Amino acid sequence: MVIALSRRLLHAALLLLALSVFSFSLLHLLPGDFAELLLIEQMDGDLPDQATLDRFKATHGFDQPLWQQYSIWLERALLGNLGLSFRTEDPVAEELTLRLAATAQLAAAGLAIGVLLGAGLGVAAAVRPGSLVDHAAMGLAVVGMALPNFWVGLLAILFFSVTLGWLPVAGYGHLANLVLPAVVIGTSLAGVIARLVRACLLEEFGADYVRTANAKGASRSRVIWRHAVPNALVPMVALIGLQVCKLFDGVVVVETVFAWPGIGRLLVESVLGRDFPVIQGCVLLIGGISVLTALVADCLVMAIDPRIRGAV
Amino acid sequence: MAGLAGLVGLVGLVLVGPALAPNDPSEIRFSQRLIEPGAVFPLGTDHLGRCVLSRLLHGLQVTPVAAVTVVALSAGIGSAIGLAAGYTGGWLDRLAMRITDGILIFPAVAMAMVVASLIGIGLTGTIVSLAVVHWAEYARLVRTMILAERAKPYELAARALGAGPIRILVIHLLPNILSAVVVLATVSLAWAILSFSGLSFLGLGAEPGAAEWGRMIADGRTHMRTHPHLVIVPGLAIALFVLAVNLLGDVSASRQGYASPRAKRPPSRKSRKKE
Amino acid sequence: MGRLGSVFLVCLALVGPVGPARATDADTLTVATMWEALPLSMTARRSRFFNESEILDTLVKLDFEMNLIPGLATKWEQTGPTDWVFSLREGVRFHDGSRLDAQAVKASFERLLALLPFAPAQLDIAGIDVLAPLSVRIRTNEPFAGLPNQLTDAFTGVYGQASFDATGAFVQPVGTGPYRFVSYDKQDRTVVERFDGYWGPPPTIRRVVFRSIPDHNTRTLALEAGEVDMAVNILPSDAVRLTSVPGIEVHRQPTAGLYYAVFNTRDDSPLGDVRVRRALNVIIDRADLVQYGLDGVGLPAWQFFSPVFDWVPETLPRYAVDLTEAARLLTDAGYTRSSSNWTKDGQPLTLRLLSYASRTEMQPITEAVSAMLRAAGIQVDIDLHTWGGMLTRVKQGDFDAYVVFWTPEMTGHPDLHLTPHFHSAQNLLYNGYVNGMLDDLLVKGRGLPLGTERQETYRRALTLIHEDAPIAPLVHKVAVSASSDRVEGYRIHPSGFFYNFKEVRLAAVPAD
Repeated sequence: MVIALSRRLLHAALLLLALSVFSFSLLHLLPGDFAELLLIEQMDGDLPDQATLDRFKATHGFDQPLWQQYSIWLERALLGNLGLSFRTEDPVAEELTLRLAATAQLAAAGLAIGVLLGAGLGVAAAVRPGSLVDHAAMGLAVVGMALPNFWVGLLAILFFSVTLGWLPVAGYGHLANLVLPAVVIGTSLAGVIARLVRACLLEEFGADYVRTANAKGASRSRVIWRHAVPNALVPMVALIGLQVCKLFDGVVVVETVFAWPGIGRLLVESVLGRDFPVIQGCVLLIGGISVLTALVADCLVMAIDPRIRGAV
Repeated sequence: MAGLAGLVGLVGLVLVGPALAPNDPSEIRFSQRLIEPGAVFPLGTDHLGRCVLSRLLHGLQVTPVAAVTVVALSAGIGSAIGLAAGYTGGWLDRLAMRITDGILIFPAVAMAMVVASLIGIGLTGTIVSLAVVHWAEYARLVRTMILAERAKPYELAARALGAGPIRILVIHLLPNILSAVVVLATVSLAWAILSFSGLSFLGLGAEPGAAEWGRMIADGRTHMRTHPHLVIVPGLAIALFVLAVNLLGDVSASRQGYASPRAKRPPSRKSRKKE
Repeated sequence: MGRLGSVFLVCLALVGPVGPARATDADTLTVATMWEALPLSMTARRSRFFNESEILDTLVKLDFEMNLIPGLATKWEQTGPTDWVFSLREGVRFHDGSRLDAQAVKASFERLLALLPFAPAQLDIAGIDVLAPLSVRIRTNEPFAGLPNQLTDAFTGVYGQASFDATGAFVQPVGTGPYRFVSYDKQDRTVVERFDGYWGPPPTIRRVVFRSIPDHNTRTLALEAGEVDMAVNILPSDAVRLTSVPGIEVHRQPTAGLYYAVFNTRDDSPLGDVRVRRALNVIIDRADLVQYGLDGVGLPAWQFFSPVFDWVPETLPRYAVDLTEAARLLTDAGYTRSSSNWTKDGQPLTLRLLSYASRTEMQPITEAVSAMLRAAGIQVDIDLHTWGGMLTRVKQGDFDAYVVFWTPEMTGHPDLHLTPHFHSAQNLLYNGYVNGMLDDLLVKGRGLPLGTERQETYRRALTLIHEDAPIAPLVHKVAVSASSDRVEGYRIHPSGFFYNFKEVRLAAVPAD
């Protein structure tokens, strides 16, 4: 158990190191003189002369050897100093913290809706496989998985905000703003989760202990809720843990559609605006969170199921 | 059989679709912009007077083709790496698997955006970026398959009979692995279509003016309040295509015996009657 | 589906009590902006917010006809080829109570020259001398007749000493304007309040809230929902639609901004031939471009300068659509029209056209231009990038033409537009355009005071540009804002970077 856990931790640490190298090298993989490019961005289209460029390189340390730049950068990053955004000149760390709260809200609400809806559909389908309910639920799941979430978001705006006027179109700050984006993320997750839950449950239904329980005359709901569901929880947690990392892909798009001031929109804005310090920060943050989520999901699985403690 | 028919149908649609377009998809007709659906333009025209239906049909050869390219690239590179890792084993295998595990943890589309910001925004850049983040899925699958297959007796027998590693790989292992790769490919094709159109919607994928579905939605946004069909119709196209691919994937997966929970038994019929 | 339904019901139940507040405060004007105000940085957007909000005053200002008017300087005169003396307004106080005098102005300029990377090149200042408590002399490196005009630019606003900390770093804006900076919530809002010690007539509105809503649709909808009183930078399509929305007033104003195509005049581009460049200029129908590319929001640009500059000579040549002339020019240049395309040596005439996507208008303009060229038998490959990505390619010469937008800030002097664009030593456009005669004219004009000689110099310069056609002017920007009808007395300033809220009133809110 301890060995397995420490191996996990070591892997996570290595991943984080690789992530930091990748994030750092973002700037240096750019074609051409990136310092000049960045300065041009900052000067709003005016072109800098050589003296301005040299001054800029010196103040940002771009004239030093690469490994030295990396070690300085890493040291600062570890202390929470991710440099300044080239567009707003605000500290990147501050920008990220501010946006992280918004994204966390949206992701949590979306995930909650997705898990509730998906688990509901999945259980309903698994209980009577082959029934009308099963077909309807799985049909819904397949359709849900096929819908592009940015499009669903736009349709939701058109219908609920513009036509009906029930909810604000977009924006941030009120609970009402959260409803549409969270529902869009939730419904796009629900399809995958429903299929996972159904598959996991059916797997359990085929297991010996369920047959034994049935044979002993345990009631059906008791078999499902006391035996099958707890056992199916392990693979479900593992698989949903993976979905949490992937959840961010949906968040990127949905935040843009709903003008939600989160990390996803920040990433889109900085990629389109070539604000590389912010892109670096986003990569570190998103990557770091992904590594930690994966680690937590692994640990959870280990904690829930002692049998696989050695195997994970 | 249904799967094959479906596949032929989809490929046929992609090949023939553009030929069915009633008008030139990129011809700009200023005097006929934003007109409602009618006889000449069955789905109306967009903000530059281009025929929406024709653009949709031509779009069949943009998004799906880009997605297929992504899948082909990822499957090719990923399978090769998975094969090499699984077959040689040792430190190479461990290294490759650490890398794939690492890549699989991260949100793919977000990472693809970052890669695209480096290698260039646009059709090629986006396709390559998506492949860069996606190959790991195939590497892991193929490597796992190889390990499973190698443990089977026939491989040992072949080796005992003096077959070289290449021969074993090509004749004995590949056919088995291929079918698994095909199943994964349908899943990732759906993913690639959604991701690519999403990135295009954000302004990273297809070039402006391209009849790309995600891009059409983005372009339609400015006139969404007055002409909602400019947003609704291309989204419907994406959804229907992905749905078709997903169904195809389900069919092929169940035919080959993968991930088919339908075959499993529920809690006994007897207990159901009790209620 | 029961769960889905209940989720919706719960969500809807939450809407009522927590819905966004409506902007009804009689004393407060809430404005939704596309660009965030960023009041805690001097360099962000070239300090435009300090001028837009009038936290800072510039020495010289522009009226609504783009004429120079007194700001913090009541008068100015050129005392030598490179010397200017500015007399300062009496009795002006900064927001912290300190007095504005020559020393404060000198200190402010020295600070901004040190802190803003682009300022030294733009201002060309050699030194500043305090002549008297209310008189400063500014010396330039070269004769620069446009200096007073340049001093209307937002970044030249006069900062009080309290704007900087002990080390000289910028902290927050403390100026002399009618509004003082109050608070800033990142990515949400910036609040300014009336400054009671303002030197001019006091503003009616006590408080202005600038809310950052970057998304076009959201910003417009916030106005329609009554969450804000005004939204700026309205999309052309919404400008048309909002006109018929009751309770909303749409403001339009031609501005100094120009959308234009830059031609690669080097020999390796088909546009290295001046005849092809001229042909393009008479093929593109600017009226159609405005009508169909921008929903009618814009002014067709047949020449470089916008009509908001009244110092542009009437007699200047202008382009006009003439397809016969275009065909003649292309034939002269050695092209023949076979089937639908112009070809030379068996190769179709094909242009690589770049632009960038971050400005919403760029894509429809670029697409419309290419459609017109294609219709005239010229092949066009469009390539859209981010601003930085496009500029990289432009600098490598990897283009035949590219479409950009020129924001001429507050300045109303021809030199400040022409020299950066067309003087071969500046080469801001990276298009390889060199005309020695034009260079000479531009240098000459830079040193000339207002008068017939200057007029004639610029007429000749602009005629040369017209003939050489290194660019195709496309559309003069018409700025669009929209407000609720309780906003009275608002007018968009033609410079595009000035709100003049000190003269705006808010009608009483009807009790409904």
